[in-house]
Amino acid sequence: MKTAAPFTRPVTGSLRVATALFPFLAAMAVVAGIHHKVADRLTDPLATHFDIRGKADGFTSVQGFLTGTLLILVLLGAGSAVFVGRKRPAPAARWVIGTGWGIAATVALPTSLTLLANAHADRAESARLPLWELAAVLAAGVAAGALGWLLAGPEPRPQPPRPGAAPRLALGAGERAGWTRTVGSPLLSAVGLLTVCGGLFLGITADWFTGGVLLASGAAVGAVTSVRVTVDRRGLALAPALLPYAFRRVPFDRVAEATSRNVHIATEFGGWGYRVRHNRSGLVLRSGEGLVLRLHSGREFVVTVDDAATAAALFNTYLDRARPSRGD
Amino acid sequence: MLFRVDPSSAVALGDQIAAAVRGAIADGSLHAGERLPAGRELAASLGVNVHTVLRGYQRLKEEGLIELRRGRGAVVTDAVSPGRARLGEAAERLIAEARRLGLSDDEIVGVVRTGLGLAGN
Repeated sequence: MKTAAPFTRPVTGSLRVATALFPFLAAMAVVAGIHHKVADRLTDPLATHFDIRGKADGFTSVQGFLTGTLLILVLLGAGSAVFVGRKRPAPAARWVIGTGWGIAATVALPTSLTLLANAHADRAESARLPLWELAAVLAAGVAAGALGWLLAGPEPRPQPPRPGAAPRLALGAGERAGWTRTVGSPLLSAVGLLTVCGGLFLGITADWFTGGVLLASGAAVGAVTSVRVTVDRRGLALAPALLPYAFRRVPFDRVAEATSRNVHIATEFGGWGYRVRHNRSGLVLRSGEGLVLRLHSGREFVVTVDDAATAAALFNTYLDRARPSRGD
Repeated sequence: MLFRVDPSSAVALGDQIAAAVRGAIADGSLHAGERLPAGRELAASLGVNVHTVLRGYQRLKEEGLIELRRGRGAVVTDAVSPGRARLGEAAERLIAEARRLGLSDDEIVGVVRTGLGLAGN
């Protein structure tokens, strides 16, 4: 069995929630512990704000200061844990955990230093907190953030499905089939139309260069607002619904397997349109059912379209035909 | 929607394409106002002659299921309903059954006319 090195193995589920929660609990424990230790030496109110030379210039009651700090830690900790613990894999959860560690440190350390500074002074007015200590706090915060980021581990990857498990469409030996469907976005077509109108207006009133740029980008947006998706004996093709010329083709020899699944475009693509991300690209005009092609390169090509299951089944059938030498 | 054609079948390819569209309307996967792929596109997709596709589209037009307009292509008519498409499928089955029995086209029309006459009385 292959064992992954520490920090490269995805940390999942409740362990990840614990990783997100831990720094806030630790911060509360540190603040409460230090307060408990120095409580009898504290004056009320405390010096809680210091000028640039480190002299006290703001004061808060002990109870208000502690309640405020602990409340911030409780709220941030709960928010972080809920975000990381959601059922749907949260985007960039690793960064949220790292940021949580950093914030917990930059809240707990100044609070603790303030308590200690007050405890060492006989009067609140004479408490001092030099600026370099704050710089040290910031550095410690960054270090804590980095540690949290490492402990959180990489984002869990969805388990790749077993090859050959995807459904096929039963097709007779000499039979041919083609699946086609249009997918559109009314919002995007409105954007395209507005851009074209803006281009015309600029072209007439100002200059045709700027107007031309707007016209061209409006037309490019318009080209993907209503797209005909076709799966046939040549592979997958995307073409503007009004023009019979495909702007994107995926032939069979690039594809390992086709599947259909629910695509959530906000977390997977960060928006709609023709999107390219580091591990997947595709045309996503809405969330929901989508055709997903797993490419040999390890990337995914995604098109959100209704009835994607039929398209995937047909794609796999043709994929089998394209490589008849497969042993199974 | 899914088009499937089998060149080894006795049914003409154009009729197979028409049957695919009819079936898609009947089972609700193709709705009124939806555009069918252009004849040239579909022909390239299925590897058949463009005239074969257009023959199938012409047939659907005669049945009142689609409209063919220059420049707009083939669009499922607004008035179309799954029930109307199923009626076309029933007619297809009637004709196929009658041909199997060796009836001529006139005799098939006669069967329907007799049925209409009986229903009228």
